[in-house]
Amino acid sequence: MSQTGSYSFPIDLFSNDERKLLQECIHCGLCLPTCPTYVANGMEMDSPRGRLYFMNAALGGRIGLTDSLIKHTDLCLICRACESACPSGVRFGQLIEKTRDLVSPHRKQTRINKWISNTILRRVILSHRTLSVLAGIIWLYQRAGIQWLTINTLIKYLFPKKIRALQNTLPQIPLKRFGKNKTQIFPATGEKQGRVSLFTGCVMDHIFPNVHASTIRILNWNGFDVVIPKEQTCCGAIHSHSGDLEMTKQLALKNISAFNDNTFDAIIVNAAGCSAQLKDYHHIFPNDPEVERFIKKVRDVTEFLSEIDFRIPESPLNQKVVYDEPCHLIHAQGITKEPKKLIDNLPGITLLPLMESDHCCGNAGIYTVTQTEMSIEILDRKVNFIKQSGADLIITANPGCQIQLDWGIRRQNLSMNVLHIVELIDSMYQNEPNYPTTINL
Amino acid sequence: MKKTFSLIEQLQQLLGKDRVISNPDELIVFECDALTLHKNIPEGVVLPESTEEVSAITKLCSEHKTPFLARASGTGLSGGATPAKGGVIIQLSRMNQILEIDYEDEIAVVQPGVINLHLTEAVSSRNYHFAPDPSSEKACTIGGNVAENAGGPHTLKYGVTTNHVLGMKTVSPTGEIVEIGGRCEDSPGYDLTGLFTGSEGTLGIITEVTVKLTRNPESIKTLLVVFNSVEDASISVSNIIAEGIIPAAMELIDQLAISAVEQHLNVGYPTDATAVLLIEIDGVATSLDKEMKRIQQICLSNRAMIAQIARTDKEREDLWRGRKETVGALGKITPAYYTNDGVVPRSKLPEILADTIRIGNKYGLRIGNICHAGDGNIHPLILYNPDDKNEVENAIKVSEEIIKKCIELGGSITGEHGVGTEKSEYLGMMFSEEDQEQMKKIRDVFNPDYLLNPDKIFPTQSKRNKINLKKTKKLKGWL
Ligand SMILES: Cc1cc2nc3c(=O)[nH]c(=O)nc-3n(C[C@H](O)[C@H](O)[C@H](O)COP(=O)(O)OP(=O)(O)OC[C@H]3O[C@@H](n4cnc5c(N)ncnc54)[C@H](O)[C@@H]3O)c2cc1C
Ligand code: SF4
Ligand code: SF4
Repeated sequence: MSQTGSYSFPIDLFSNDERKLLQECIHCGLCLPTCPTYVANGMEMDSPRGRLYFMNAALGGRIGLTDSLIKHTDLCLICRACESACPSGVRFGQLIEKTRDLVSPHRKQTRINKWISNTILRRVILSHRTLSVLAGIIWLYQRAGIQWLTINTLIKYLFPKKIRALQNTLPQIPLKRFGKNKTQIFPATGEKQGRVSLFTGCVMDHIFPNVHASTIRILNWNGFDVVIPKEQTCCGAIHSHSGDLEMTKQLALKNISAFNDNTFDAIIVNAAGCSAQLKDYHHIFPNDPEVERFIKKVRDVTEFLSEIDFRIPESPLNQKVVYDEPCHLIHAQGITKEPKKLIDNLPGITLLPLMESDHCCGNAGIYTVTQTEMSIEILDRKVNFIKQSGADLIITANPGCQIQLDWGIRRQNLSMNVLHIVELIDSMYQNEPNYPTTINL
Repeated sequence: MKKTFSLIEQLQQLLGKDRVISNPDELIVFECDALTLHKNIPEGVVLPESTEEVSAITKLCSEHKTPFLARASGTGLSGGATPAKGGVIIQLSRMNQILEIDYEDEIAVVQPGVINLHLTEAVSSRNYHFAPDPSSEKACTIGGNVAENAGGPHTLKYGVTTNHVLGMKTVSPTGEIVEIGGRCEDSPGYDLTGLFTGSEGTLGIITEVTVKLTRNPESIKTLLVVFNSVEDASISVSNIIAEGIIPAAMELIDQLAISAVEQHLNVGYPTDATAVLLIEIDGVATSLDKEMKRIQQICLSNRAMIAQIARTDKEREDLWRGRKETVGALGKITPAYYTNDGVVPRSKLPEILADTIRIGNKYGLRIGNICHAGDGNIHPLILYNPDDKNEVENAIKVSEEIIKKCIELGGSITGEHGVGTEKSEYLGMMFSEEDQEQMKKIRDVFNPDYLLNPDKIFPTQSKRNKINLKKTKKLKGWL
């Protein structure tokens, strides 16, 4: 039997609170059909109930830190759909992250794993400069095609084989990027309603600068000054999901201080994964009033737009759309009615029902890279439902989902577009007189 | 020399390695269903995808004289899917396709692993639903419902699973594929469909089911009635039925259960109520108002404090969500619970509910109550600490006394969860040795070597209840 050895599970690292949380699972199984990995393979070990059972067994000393524990822990998407389904309110996300943290030193260190945790997570995504260079290379690569030998060699050198195979997942990288050299301010148009700050994240600046631009324009158009504080950094979600709690803490502290400005009415986030992580900072620093103050201001952009007196676009756009719900909005933050209502109220837009719209698309941060097979299986199922829906356009609210869905429709040779909800709204405002058409990035 | 292969190896050859689980670390998650008091680890788990594969699996197991059983979502509450004698679990979660929906004949043909609620969702746009609605509907399977003859809140008016099954395809322990029943209401000859429904997976493995679809009622009204005493609530139930009114559902929830629901789900039950009744009537819109008025009058004359009709679909859904997820919500107020599903004649409801609390007090355990009141089907929720050996023993004793009381009052040991391993030792309270022997003879016709789901329903020779406390103690939180 393949076992990494009989390390016993570091029981003491589960706090009493976490043990209590674990006990809240009553083994009813009501969460099973909501779990994408269980739906995919039908195995109890890959269901929320099974994973909690493993945690309990590990805590009780019945199983050690074996390959199977690690395998099933790692196959979890941390999409938290099980939390939405659980009548007992088991906080699964918190428990699985803790378990990941504990198994992480015992994971077999493949080249991919090392590359991700050392190079990407600890260096690349935290440096704006490195990301810029990288995005530049990818831009050239995508435009030049595979014949260009030099770039090809460079890519080979920079990325492990498995990642190269995944290059197709990347959307076209735009040439323009979002600068972060100094704090930027974009003033409201028309009557001023307030002043907000924008959280811009790490890779978003490079892959989706247009989502930031759309966010700024529609906020300006609705009367808000938008400030982008310079000192902000990555939210730390990926670090926390992969079990790097130390790094998560450092990033959190940096962000809390970067946004410590009481002229901001809110901290707007347009990536659901990031807004969820920022709102979770109190798990990292419990009972800290400064952290609480920070969290209170964090608003996902869909949430914020439904709280304000939103300006309905004047001209209709006749499109049939579906909305695929980002896990980090619906399951982590309970935000589901707001974006749907926003979309439904847009003139001309018909929002069609989508089967399993509340199931993960399989992106889940670096999951596409670490668990490619499962990720693709989940994605193809999603795209099949999208095909059945009869929509011409897919709307979501998180860049990770955008990348994944975009890849999914290209895999099946469909010609559909995937838009962030703010891009949709932005495009509908475009023809209104005085709408801020350009944003100087 | 010819190599002989072990059963697991042969199963791997049949299905491929990724559909056979045999790593002991992984097998532990299959040691119990939603009844965590009884446990046993299987030797292997297989995931077939077709009737033919199920047939090949049962054949191999029989040849190796190894016990085996079907398992679906594992939401059973009587240990039905627990591998009491080890052996091989045939996990049916991958056989989850709806094969046919025929609106003209109002039937659907499904694989056994289709989730109960998914069938309803698939036909809801045409105003149909699958009538059996166990509270576990969002997770349990139709195969599991047939095996346990599951009921639900709406059983009161619409009947249990057996009233909605027309036919099925089954696989015998030695691998023969046998079709029973059909697409019509009644087939000539013995009613084998009726016999298989509720046989708790001991007669054959169901690999396809033909079920009836039920048209949605034209109109529905849901009433929440708040009482100061459980007794007043249960008397109201009897009074309503005595008036000749058959509501679609009539559910009772007491204070402790409400407190669990409201901690996390916040569906709007009044937390200071001693008991609430959830009453639903459905049918032609014009007739409902009068009936509802009468029900409200009866409740008020039994000292109900509030009798309020749900105003919106959302309110109605919330009320039902609270009721259906009560058991799941217990995690908020206890590390473990144990429930049974004893039945009493409806008129004895006040008596048995008072008895549950009295018996709980006697053993120092908290008890909440939810019940399908219209059917006299109780679910005493016995809360205990699984790390406390005494409490575990007492929980079992409490349940046993309650079951005894049900029988004394003219009821039965199970209304819907099945006997399984949980209540096999109580069967003798209801049936004489001779009766049991007759039933076993029927089982032996279909399951002669008793390799299919052994040690279920009938008492075993070994020590009663088979709860090995030494073994379970290691399992901290789970028992
Ligand atoms: C929160 C909660 C609420 C519940 N509420 C209700 C309720 O209101 N009413 C009610 O009746 N029950 C209820 N139950 C019990 C349970 O959900 C039902 O018994 C359900 O029918 C079991 O379905 P399953 O798919 O989970 O089957 P499993 O638990 O996997 O299996 C149950 C039994 O069926 C057999 N079986 C399963 N599939 C097959 C097959 N294809 N062929 C042959 N045998 C098979 C198994 O061997 C086992 O003996 C509840 C359970 C929970 C946890
Ligand atoms: S996590 Fe919640 S829903 Fe899932 S088995 Fe445990 S208590 Fe039930
Ligand atoms: S977080 Fe998602 S993948 Fe993980 S167990 Fe829960 S539902 Fe399944």
